[in-house]
Amino acid sequence: MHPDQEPALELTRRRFFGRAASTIGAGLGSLALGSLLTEGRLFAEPAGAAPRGPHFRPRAKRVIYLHMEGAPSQIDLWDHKPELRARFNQDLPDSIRQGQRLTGMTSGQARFPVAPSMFEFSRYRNHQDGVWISELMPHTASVADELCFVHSMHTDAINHEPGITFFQTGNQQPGRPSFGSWIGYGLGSANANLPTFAVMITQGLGNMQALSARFWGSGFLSSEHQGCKLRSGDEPVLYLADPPGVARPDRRRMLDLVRALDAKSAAESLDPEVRARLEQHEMAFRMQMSVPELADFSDEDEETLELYGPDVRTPGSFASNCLLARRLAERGVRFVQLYMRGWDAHNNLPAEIRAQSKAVDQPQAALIKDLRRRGLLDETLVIWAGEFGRTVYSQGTLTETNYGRDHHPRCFTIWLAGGGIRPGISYGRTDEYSYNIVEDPVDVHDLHATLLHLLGLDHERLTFRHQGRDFRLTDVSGRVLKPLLA
Amino acid sequence: MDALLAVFGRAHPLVLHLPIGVFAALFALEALAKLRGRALADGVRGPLIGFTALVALLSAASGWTLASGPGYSGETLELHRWLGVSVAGFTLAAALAQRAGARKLYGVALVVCAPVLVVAGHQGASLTHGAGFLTEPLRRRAEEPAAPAVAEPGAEVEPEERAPTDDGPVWSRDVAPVLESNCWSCHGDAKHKGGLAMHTPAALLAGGESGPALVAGDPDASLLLQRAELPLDDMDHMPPEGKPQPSAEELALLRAWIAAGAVFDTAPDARPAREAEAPAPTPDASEDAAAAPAPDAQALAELERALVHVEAMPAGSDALWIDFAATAETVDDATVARLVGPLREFVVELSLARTRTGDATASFAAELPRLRRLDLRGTAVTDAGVAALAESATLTELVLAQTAVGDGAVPSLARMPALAHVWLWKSAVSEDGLARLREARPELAIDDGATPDAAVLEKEGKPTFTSDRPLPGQEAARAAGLAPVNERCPVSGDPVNPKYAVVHDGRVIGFCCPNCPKTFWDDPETYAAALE
Repeated sequence: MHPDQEPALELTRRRFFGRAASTIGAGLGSLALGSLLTEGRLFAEPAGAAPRGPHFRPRAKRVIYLHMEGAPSQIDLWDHKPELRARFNQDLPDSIRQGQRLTGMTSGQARFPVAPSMFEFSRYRNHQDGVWISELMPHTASVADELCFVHSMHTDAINHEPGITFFQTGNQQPGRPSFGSWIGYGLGSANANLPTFAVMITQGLGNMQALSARFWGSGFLSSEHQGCKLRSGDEPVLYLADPPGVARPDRRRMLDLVRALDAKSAAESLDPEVRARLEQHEMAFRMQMSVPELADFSDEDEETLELYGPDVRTPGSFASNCLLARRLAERGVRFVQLYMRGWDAHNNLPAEIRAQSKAVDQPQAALIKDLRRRGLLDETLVIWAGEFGRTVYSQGTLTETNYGRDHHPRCFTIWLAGGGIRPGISYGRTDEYSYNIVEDPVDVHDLHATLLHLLGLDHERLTFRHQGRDFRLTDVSGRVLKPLLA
Repeated sequence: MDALLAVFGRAHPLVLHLPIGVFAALFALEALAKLRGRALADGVRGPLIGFTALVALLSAASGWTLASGPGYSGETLELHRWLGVSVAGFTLAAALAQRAGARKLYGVALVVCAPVLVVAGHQGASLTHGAGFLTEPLRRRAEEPAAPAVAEPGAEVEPEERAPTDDGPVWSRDVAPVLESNCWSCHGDAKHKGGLAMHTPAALLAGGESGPALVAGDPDASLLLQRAELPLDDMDHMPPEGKPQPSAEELALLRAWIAAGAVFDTAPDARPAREAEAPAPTPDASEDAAAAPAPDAQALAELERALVHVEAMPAGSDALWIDFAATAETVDDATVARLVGPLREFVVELSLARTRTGDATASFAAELPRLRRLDLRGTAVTDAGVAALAESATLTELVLAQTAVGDGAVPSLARMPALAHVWLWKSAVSEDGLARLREARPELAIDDGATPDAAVLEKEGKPTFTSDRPLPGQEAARAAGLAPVNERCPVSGDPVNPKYAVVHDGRVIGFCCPNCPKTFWDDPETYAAALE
């Protein structure tokens, strides 16, 4: 039996209601150290059991997921549509729009004027006949031969909250485990001293939307699989440091006493969360040593810091978080989720996307290069994606130098790199307006199935039984996209 | 139509159970009635024999279709074919006799049909599961005292007739029996699934739909072994999941036989002709598998206590990835030797990045028989350590970034037989050393941290905006060569420029400028009406 399903044998009434509540919220009590308990599970069965591992030999051992919250415009960054330049301010033809739904923000607009990108594109060498990339991403373009662009991504959601929930959990409604939680559940920790699923957030420079903690919640999986949010600044994990006057040996003695009491309580209540908490205390004790070392960049050389750009010294910046992501990856953390907020450019898109791109471009390119030269890129999967795309037509007034774009779930561009991904290719094609997909559509479940495949997990077999049925990250669909695999 | 026919054929193994079951029921009822001295009611007998005849006919027809497709031939098949047809004939005769009230004829047909049905069914099962499937456990039981079927872990004695001798495996004595017990039921005399038969040298060499099964001398390129060595849950794994699987010894034996040139002897003791020049078979693999079947649980628990990550890749296999990342700064040569030593046969990936290890650990890693990837980034390894690693026949990926490894390591790297990718960023290897390595091993991927940026192939220039591109519908109209129906623009009243036109209500309507079509679409009915 899977160790994660063991608690089913010990289901109590109190636990039943407790779990039901935490399926919706992100289990308040254990948020800070939520995902820290992972070791001990590998050999949870009696000695002699085989070590845990993936379903088949993996191409990637870990994931760094750069989520662009707010949905960046594919038209201004990656999906080059030069023909649109001769369609400035024309109406979006009905043959393209096809009566598809729009958000309430633009559905009342009298006109849908086509807004071509005002940014210059260049074609960069890759392993096909080159890839067109906007002037906004020059550093990212310099690693074009490592990137696999998917131009034909599409999603079901048209608003941020369900859109991000869908990308993170495979379902638009809240309550399912996050992608990172599934990975922790499927593969376990590779570093007993650090969280298995780490989350970092960078505040945006453009229009921002709310970012709920449940995006990295563990849903119905055990709370040990929750994402652990690392804060910027001196204290990446809250309440980790001992209070003044408490020495480490004191702390140890205190933990031993608490452990004895908790063990008694666990035996009486049969509540597995007590056991989880016990382990979290121990993990916190070890993290008191490992986390400060992790967040301390003083052992990075000058050249590396420069690679990530000037923002790297500002805690919480995207550059700093990218460097931290690499440090987490090389310490074996399975899933690092970075959020860059502020891509929701309904108005003043040119100004906002300039600032946003400048904040992410150099750091994300540096991340690829730094992973590559350290021998980590070929076993680390890097994902860059928003929750949907943006419309070709302008939201609000269109001028030669300013426009806005509304949400567009019908097609958008993401890119992947490293860990078994075929480098330097483009996959899928959109129509002349970047409005509909004309070739090789990829839905969110397909993406999840493909990424799990690279991690050695069969998306149809990575299941968890809850409320009477087996749940999967990919729900009831998803195909592994063979053309994206190296 | 052919596809539908094929589906019909493949339904044979499903349909055939119906006549067998219903016939058995009818037969039992008849026997019971006879015993009690009564006759079975016509209301029971009629429908049962009628249904039996119907499904027997369907079975025979689908079976015939299946047999005429690819994959089946041989004596057993022919026998099964005609017995099956006979069953259909007898049941049909019985059904007709019953209907005509010919009780005697009915009884005779029924009694004659029973043994024919039993034999036909048995032949069919032999085709599907392999000859001797039914009685195999009995035979195995009889053989047991003579030769233990499974060697105990640690036991050195192996069944004599299967053991690869010093002379290497011999086709008739060693190889054919392995194929017989694992493969021939689907790829043999009676059945050749995927176009492949393996029961004769000629058939094996001919290969199947996926290509040749054997590449003499190259086990890794031989499809036969590739398929067998895939993970059990791979779609292409052979034999299919659920069928008996060859043991590790048997696979090692096949490997050795192919490596030695896949020679077919004619008589049991004949010498393979090319033996002298063939590389020595590797009995090591089979011995290892027998001597140490699984990683030692004690050693695994020891790693866990030391917070060292160990993972089977994939789960359930004995291939281990061991990663010291969690406690890197406290790990030295002695720790690695102590913790990894007991698991040396199982390590395929070893991550020691940022540990306090050095050349002693490199020498230790060189002795790991299955090591594929070794990460020594940021360790104290030097040229001497890399020289020791040059002895590893399996090492494919080697990370030496951020080490003191210098030009002295270049000859060692160039010598590593399996090396495919090496990382040398921030090592002490000079430009000159890199150049020499590239020259010695042109196919080797070398990452020295100086990968050039992707070049710009084309710049489009500063974008300028116009709006004179015709809308998609207009293009279609122009492509169709249609002229506008009007001379004056319905919006402005100015003369029409044929460049600007839309298709509305089956007519091409022209405009004076690109802006008027937009106005037109605001209220097409009114403007179209204005044309009249």
